[in-house]
Amino acid sequence: MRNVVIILFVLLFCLPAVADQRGVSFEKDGLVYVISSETIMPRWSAGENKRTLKNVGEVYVSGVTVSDSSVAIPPIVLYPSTFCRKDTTVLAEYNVRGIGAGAFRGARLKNLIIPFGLKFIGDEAFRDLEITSGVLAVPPATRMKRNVFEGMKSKVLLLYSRNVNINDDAPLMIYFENTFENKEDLPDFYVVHGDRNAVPVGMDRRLLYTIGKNVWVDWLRNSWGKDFYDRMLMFGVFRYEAVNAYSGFRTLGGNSAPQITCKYKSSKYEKVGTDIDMLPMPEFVCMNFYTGKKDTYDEFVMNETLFRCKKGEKYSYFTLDGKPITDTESLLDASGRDPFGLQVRTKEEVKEKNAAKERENNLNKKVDDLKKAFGF
Amino acid sequence: MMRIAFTIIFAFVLTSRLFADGWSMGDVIEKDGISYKVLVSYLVVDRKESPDTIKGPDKFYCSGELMVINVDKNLKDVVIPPVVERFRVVGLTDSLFFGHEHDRIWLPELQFAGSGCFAGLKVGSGALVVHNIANLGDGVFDSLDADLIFDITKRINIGNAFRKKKEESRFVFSAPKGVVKIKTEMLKYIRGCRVYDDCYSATSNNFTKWIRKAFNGDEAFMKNALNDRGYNLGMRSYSTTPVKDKNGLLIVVSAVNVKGLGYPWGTLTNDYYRQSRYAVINKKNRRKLLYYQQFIPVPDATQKKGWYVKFIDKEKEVETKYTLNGKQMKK
Repeated sequence: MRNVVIILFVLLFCLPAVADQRGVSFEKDGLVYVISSETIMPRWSAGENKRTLKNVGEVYVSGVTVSDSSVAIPPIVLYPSTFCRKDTTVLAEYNVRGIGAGAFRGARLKNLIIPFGLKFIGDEAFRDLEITSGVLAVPPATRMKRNVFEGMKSKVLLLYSRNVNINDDAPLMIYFENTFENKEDLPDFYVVHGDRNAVPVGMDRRLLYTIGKNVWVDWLRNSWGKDFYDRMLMFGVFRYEAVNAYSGFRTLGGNSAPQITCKYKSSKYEKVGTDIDMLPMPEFVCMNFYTGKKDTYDEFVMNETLFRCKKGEKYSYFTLDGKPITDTESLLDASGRDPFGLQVRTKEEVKEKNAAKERENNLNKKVDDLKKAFGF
Repeated sequence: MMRIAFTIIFAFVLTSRLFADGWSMGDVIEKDGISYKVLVSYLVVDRKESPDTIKGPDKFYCSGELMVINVDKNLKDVVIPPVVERFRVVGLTDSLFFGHEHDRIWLPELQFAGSGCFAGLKVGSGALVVHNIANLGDGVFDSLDADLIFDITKRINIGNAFRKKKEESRFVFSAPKGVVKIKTEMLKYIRGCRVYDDCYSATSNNFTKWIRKAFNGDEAFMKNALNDRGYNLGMRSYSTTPVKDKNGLLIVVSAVNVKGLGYPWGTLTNDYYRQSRYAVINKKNRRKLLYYQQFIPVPDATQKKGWYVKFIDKEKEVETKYTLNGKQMKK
């Protein structure tokens, strides 16, 4: 009995709090994306010189729907979001953070451009992939999973060089987890000369060919296209990379407003094999100066007047200056939804509540009629 | 009278034997469709000989250094051996393979390859393998119609090997039409050269595959590598008397660069100049070292052992004769 209680207790803490959007997929520009997390937070808009509330989140690529064409995985993909918004025309900013298992299995593409700074590339992601331009340039993600390149029909140029100044923000450590397990049907792997000495964990150096910087430039120009390459070069460094989706902010201007800090949950999630769990949910640490309390929440969304936090199964509402809203019923609309569209009351509850209200109104009306009839 | 006649006959036989093996500077040796020019020659003894067994002028052989000056255009496979008749092949002349077309080429380790040596060469197997070449001329691999594989184990002086001079005396990059390949571990030896940024490298296994392909996977052809070892160039140090003898001369032969006559490989093959040098030490007085340019063992029946040695200092144009026990002979 005691063991069962312990197991239940452990399971309770291991269950990730799943946001509404987690696992939802959408297709854009020939690629299928899966959302791993999403929130609404203020972002400073330099052009308009003001803060705007934006849906931001993280996605990974789970498939491709086109063939024989050039496909570029963008570092950020914009797509209409329905998360906590009534206005569905707003485009959410999703940071692309990974490539899912078998995402490009058996595909035939002219080119595939992969951004720097991915967190993972899943099992057999490029299995039997054919790149007709001849070279697939792969900036290795933090975690390269099992047999990623097996059966590929083109050269693979692994890019993790600091010598050639391509990705200053690339992960310091790259883990190849059985990436080269099946050695039978592997393509040729190339790195820039100096990179061989910086080969990360789990890489078999004997597999590597190395090439000079000029050869590398030629290949990238051919693979990415001259225009794209030159555009990258114009910035001095190759910054075609995903940036952090979440960042710290205050709900209002001024030092007295609650300060929200975004963190990723424990790295234990990253040890899970499934794609979506390799992108852990962020957690939001809220330092509320109004209440003087510091709390950690699984979910955070805000609008122009209030913000909502979720801890476990419980939702809390605050005004933007941090004052807790205790009368949550007053926030709900007629259909039982909160200002962020969350169905707080079920339809039955709303129906019952309306019926009770109507009964109460009827009763009050009857009482009023009786009072009038008896002259009170 | 009989004694004089016997001496003359003996001397003739020995001298004829010496000249049979002898090549001197500037001579051309032709073998298997390849012509070699003797750059320097000197006398050595066979490795099997010891000071105790050197009992006459017939124990000395001609050795030295050769430069390849011509290769038959019609040869399908070209094998340049490291040694030809006790002469070491040290270099290739300018434009040696210019405009040639061969299926496979085997090269030994070399001291130099002249300017444009492999320029315009077409290799049927698709790759030219070069081993250690200490010095390279200008535009050595210009428009080489094949991949170039550097099978090196030490630093090479690339110089202007990948550059060629244009008419306006300006150097421009000149590379093979194919790619330059090298073993990854050896990249350090070409770091700093322009070709470093243009080359491919592979670790041992993959590099061996490249070389095997360059020789069309022909194991027999690849065994030419064994010729680089175990050849007999002869011993370059010897004594005129047995080891236990307290008297006698120790002779050490070498070839030296002569600056006054042009640096060797300065402009490589044209101004190439090497000279033999014999360092002579008397066993009685080992502190004194004498240098000569030429050494001639002379048969002489009047001597106790039947021969004596003669050295020539060409600069001073002086001949010096010694008996075998190291005593200077009167003229």
